[in-house]
Amino acid sequence: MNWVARNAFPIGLAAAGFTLASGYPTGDPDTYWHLASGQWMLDHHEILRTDVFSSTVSGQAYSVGEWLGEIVLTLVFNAGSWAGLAIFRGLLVAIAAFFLARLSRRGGAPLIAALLVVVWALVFSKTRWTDRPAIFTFMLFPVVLDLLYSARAGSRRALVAIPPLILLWANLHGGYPIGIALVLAFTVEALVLRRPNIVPLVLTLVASIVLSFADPETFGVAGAVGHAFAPPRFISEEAPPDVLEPSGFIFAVFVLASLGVALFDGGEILDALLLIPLLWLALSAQRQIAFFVFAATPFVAAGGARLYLRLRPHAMPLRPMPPMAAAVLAMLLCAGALASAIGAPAAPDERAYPAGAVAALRTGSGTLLNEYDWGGYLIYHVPERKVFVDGRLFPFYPSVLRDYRDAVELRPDWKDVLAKYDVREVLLMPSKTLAVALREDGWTVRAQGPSFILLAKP
Amino acid sequence: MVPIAIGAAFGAASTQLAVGDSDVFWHLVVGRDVLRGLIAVPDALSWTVAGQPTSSDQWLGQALWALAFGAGEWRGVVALRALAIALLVGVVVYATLRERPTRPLGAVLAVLPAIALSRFVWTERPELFGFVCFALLIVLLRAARSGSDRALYWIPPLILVWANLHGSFALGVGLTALVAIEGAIAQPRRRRIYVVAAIGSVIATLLTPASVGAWTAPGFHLLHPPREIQEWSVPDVTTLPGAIFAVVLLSTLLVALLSRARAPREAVLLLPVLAISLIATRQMPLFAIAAAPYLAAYGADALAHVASIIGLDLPALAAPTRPPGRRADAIAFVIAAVLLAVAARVGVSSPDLGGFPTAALPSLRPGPGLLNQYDWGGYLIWAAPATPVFVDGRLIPYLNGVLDDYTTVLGVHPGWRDVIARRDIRQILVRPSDPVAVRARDLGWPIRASSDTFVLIDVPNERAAGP
Repeated sequence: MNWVARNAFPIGLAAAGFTLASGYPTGDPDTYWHLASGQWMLDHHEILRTDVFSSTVSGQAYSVGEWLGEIVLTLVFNAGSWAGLAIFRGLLVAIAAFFLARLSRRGGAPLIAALLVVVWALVFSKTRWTDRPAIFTFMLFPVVLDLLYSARAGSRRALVAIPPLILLWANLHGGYPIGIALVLAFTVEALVLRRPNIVPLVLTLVASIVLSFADPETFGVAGAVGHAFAPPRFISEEAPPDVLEPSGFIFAVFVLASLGVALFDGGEILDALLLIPLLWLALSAQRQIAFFVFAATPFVAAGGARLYLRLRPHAMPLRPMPPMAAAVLAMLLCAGALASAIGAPAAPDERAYPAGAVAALRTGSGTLLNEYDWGGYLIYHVPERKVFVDGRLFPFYPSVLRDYRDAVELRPDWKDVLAKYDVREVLLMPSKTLAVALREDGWTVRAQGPSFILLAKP
Repeated sequence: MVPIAIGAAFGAASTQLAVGDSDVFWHLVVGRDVLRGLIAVPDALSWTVAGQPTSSDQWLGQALWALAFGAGEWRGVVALRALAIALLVGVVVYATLRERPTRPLGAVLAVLPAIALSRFVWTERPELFGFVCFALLIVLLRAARSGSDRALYWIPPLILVWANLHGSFALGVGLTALVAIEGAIAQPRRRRIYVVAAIGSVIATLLTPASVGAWTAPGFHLLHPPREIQEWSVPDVTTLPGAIFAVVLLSTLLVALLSRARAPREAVLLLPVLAISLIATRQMPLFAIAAAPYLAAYGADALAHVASIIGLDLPALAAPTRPPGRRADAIAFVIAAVLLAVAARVGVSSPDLGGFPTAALPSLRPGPGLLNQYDWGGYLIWAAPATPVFVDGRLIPYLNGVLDDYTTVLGVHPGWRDVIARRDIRQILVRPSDPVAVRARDLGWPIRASSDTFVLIDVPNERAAGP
């Protein structure tokens, strides 16, 4: 009960995170091909290393570096279907929220300041609550960061946990280099400040790097770095953050708050080692901004609280809740969260997908050119038709993707592309230029709805 | 002396840069009208919004460019651009030197990213004057906070000129208001003068031909940037300007984190400008300009702090030098003026039209009916006045449906033929890679003229409505 009382705030936030995250249906286009890949590996008892889903790169070797993540998601799905996946997502978000809440008070921020900042960070991060292996990176980042702060505060046990976590992370998702980067930042700080824990930190760093190679399917640190420096901009999550959109706005608030706190109160070497590279990473692509926001959370919460006290020096601090009351409240929130699991959605939200074309697709034949975002859905729902492209990205980069865009955007060689791949059917949004042109050219409409059109070569 | 010298050097160097920004042409045409006394006359440059009211928010800037052109044709434009660039760079350098008057090298290093980023706005447009005004405002606001009442008095006249030069004046008014609030709290004895400066600035913005209407364009652009236009796109660190912006932002955060001296008052200037700069590519130089004096003032301290932490002995910098006197400034000013005059004389004397459809001009039909590439609208207004345009860089007049129709036809989106029929589009002048050009070739529409840059298509009336 003591532990619960001491951690009532993180537990309460974890419960709230679970309730929010498990309450909505999956809808990410990549979930489907991850599940299909996981199922293939479970069925064949081997790691999927060559393409089996597409017509364009069929049989070619590729890696997305997420074999274990895909298998875990598939096992969860096989055990609990879509509701199981939603509950699992809720659990991972709850873990992230728990450690984020702990992080938010690392700088000594009072509860109310920490709560305000961490709620903003969690609201922002909703865009990353996806049923993809990337959610493991979302969850593990605050875990490793909190462990490192614990180690900085003197806990050797926290350091021992990190290398195994990096090993797990490297096999779950390709985002693990950022975990190693966190260890590196703390190690450099210890080195610069000649902290006594420098040797354990160096050992942790070395062990983490070595164990990260124990991954049968990695695309490596170089692959991750290359991806960060040259993000494929046509994918929305790889676009730079737009501060006029909700998630970009919250990111901008954290950037401004971090700079504001730094101008008012300065910072430490560690703040610079963490925030500077993560801010660059966040500016490079929307999908990376969570790392900066999470790392900035303790800094902003503590700085905001100090600023408030400076502006209102005589403000009365909130009286802390009695430990027993805090524990009871946390338990009640947990009970509520568990009860909310009953309402986890039992079916995915497929309104954005061409469900009305599935029957026609099954009876069609020949090479299908499909909308990029629908590739995963088709792999899962119409496995008998190979896709042209899908969200796996790397197998198609760059030549197939270039051909795809040339065709769909009606560039001068669009007819050559259709001929090159002998495209017989096209499944696109009706607003796409190629769909308009092919209709004009007399291709047959096999199925259509408000958001899709399936055309066949006459 | 140093600001004048550096400003003149960059101004002189800029005379070798190509002239021919896609918007310069329509600014010159509008400026020519302004010089004839025709301000905000109903539109006569396009056929899609012909007769509708136009904006006058840049009338003075446009008039200046037209005056320069009238005085020396393209050499005049290049000379004015060089002068504005010299002023911009000189003021930014001056702002940083004010912070470190005896350490010019450090100040110049701090200002380099701002100069590099400002390169992307060295265009022949009123926007360049807006950046000059912004840089001047930063100097005045910093001087005012240091205790100069005179600097505060100069702000309303600056805003008055700015509001007539370019729509970016709104940022200046906002910053002035914030600094005035902060100053009034921090320095109660100067409260009245801060209030006067802030209210005077707001009133100054009303002394334009558009009066209150001058505020509509900045507000619209700020919250609804047209992302499809390159300069209004989201800042991207994988591009050169985005990378420089990131360097400035990260340097500022780094200095703020590691400097031992606290600078809470800098937040009043830096945070709002950063918020604006994060919105769009074209606004990134604003933060670099605002941050340069801060970096100059606190960068060395942050560096020294880090060095002391890691036990590094930094080499002693040169002893403080005596600032040069007024005579040196006067000599530098004369040399700079001569340098700029000579550079303008030997600089580029004609626009670079390589990216424009020059060879299509003889084949354009006079009168309404042309759908043109957005980026070429200004050039056509200038070079083919008998053929009004469909759209051009003025943007706002076309937001009421015209731009949507343009996008529909250019991208061959559903209903593109209906738009052609409804608008009675008779010719299409676009890039060969644009979907409508590709489609028109597929359909066998007559190509009136073409090159690697453009294709001019005649629209067959009987087929426009489609199958």
